[in-house]
Amino acid sequence: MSETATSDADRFLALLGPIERDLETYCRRLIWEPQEAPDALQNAVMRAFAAFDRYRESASFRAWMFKILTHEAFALNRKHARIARHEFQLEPEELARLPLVEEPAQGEGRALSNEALNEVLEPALVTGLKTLTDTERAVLLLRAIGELRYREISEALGIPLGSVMGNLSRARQKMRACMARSARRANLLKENGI
Amino acid sequence: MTCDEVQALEGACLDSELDTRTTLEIEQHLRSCPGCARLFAEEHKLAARLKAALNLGSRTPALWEHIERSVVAAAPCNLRSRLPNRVSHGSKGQTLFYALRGQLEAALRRAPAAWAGLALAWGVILVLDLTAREPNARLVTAQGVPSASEMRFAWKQKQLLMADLAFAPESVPAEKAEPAPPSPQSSRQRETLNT
Repeated sequence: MSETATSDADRFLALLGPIERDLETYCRRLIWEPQEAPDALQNAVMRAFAAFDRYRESASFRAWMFKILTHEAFALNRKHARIARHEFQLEPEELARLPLVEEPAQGEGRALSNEALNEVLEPALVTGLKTLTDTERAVLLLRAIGELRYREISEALGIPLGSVMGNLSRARQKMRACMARSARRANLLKENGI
Repeated sequence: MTCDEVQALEGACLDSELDTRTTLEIEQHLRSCPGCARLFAEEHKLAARLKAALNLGSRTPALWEHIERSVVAAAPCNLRSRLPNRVSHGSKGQTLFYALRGQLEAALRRAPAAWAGLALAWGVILVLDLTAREPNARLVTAQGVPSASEMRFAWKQKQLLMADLAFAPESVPAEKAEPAPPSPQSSRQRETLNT
């Protein structure tokens, strides 16, 4: 019995190993409270292992794990009822400080180095993600970090394929606007020597 | 393809989610339309930048070591909980019972809402059946199926009537003067009864 148990655990961990970094990055972006990310990850992994006998070899382990983690993160977000607070309280005050230029200029951000751009983009990303709805955020992250196909995202979230495309398009538009504002603001600050 | 159609499929095209034919049509349009080509290039650049920025992050070794240890520790418990479905320890009947229970649990887990709906519908049918049965029963009794005592009473009445009819002339007292001559009908009745 112990040999079978060990082989099951080994097989599970062998599949889990290559996607651990992606799962952690995804979880930290999806969950609102950073200190809850380890709990969400542990719960998701233990749930997946408990249900490992129902996992079919033909299915994508990556998509299966991302689906379980998404549900775990949503449950934690709901449990603490923080989504609405973040979406409706932080968005206006964060965004009010950003729009220094009315129209987005083409090719902005070129003046910044990659490191500086990352420094600017990280808070912009955090702010931008807070402007997204739960589904928009999950669809965007499942595509960008999980690298899941539209069909897999549709199955993971239980929404139609058309909704996946619509949510992804809206999420990208919002993120683009947020990143543009942030980059513009950084360039203006740089030009003014602030 | 028009510019609007192409731009509507921009995201799906950049994510390589379209079929070959549509992708070729879009590429053909982009070669002849500088505006759309510029939009596609910008969108592609943004998507790449966004993806790179969102993917910034590292694996926390201590966290994953802890999680992996938890998985290894949970492995025997995990296997034990699945044993009834995999290994047969008891009799044939016991094995069949565990197999059926496993199938039932799996079915319940797959569609709990459907099973709950089925149970609810069954409950509604039972309630409707019970409430519908009562009035019908009352209706049948109300329509006059007699009770046993009523039947007995009616039978006695009939017996008495027949006795009256059969023995009425003999039972008439002699002192009663000039009884009415029997009608042809009553004599016929008496003959019938005597026979």
